[in-house]
Amino acid sequence: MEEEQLEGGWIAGIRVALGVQGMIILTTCLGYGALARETGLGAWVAIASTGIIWALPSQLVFAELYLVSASGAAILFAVMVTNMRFLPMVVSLMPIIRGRSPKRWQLFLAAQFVAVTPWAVAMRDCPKMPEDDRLSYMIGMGGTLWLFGTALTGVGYLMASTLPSYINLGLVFLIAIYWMLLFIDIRQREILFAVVLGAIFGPLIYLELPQWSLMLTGFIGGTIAFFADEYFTRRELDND
Amino acid sequence: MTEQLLWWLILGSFCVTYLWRGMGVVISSRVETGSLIFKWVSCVAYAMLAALVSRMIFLPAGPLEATQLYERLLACGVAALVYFLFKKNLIAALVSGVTTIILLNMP
Repeated sequence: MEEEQLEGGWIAGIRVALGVQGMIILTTCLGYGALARETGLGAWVAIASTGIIWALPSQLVFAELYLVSASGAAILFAVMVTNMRFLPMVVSLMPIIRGRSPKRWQLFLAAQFVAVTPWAVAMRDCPKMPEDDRLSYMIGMGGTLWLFGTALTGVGYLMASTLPSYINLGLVFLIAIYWMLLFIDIRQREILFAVVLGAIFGPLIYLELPQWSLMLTGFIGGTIAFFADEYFTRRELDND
Repeated sequence: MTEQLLWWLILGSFCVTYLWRGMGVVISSRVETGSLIFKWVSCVAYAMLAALVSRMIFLPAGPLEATQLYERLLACGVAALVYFLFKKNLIAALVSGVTTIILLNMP
């Protein structure tokens, strides 16, 4: 059977960004804009935070910690830890999209566009493309999403001031639903453990220590999940 | 918190975020992706993300405070149901979940 081949390059990337996957990420940016306004962030701060940070979870963390008046150091630390995942993500993506003779600045540009959705799309599609068309595909797709996402944050922000509050609720809650749906699709055992533990510990720790709850939950839940998975993996190996 | 401090924080957030992305480019040719440290890092990141989402559902701050717990759970339930009924169609699931919470809160 012949392998499915996909077209690479800028144009193909832009086209994918304007498709279904793109619509989802763009809707969440709209939701983030609405949420940022409700949190009390200024319009330009909200728009800039999408363009500059380009990582929705950490933007939510940012807005959230701002809401509970956490210190600047706590906010930066939380953003840093939340975005640690980019290291393994970029490391795993680069060998796939690099091609034979990449320009260095293009690699660093592509890295800025890495966020959960663009990363997942690139990991899925790029292996089916001619090697040298992959990096431009990633930049075309990621850059388009980035541009529209930043603009739509502003649109969401503006909409939040004109729409009735029950519509805003929907936009804001959209983000929670989006992540929940991604969670229920997780099949990797250690990630599943981490998600379940995080979901349970998160609200509980929040009741006691609102400002540090995200980080504490991440470290405690994540570490338990990691060791639990290691334990089960060893036991399976022993049984074989 | 002053507006100016907020801008510094955004800039700082860029630095601590791009740090990982840039480092990923630099070391991508040298590091084993399957290593244990990466596995632990993803566990921590996912636990944190789950904590955030779980709090939005169970103990929301901000605009969602105006909604009831059962309304939020129902919206999630409807979205999950549609997701599985319609062969994992994310758009359909998102639209149905959001519509549910909006309808429940319409005056």
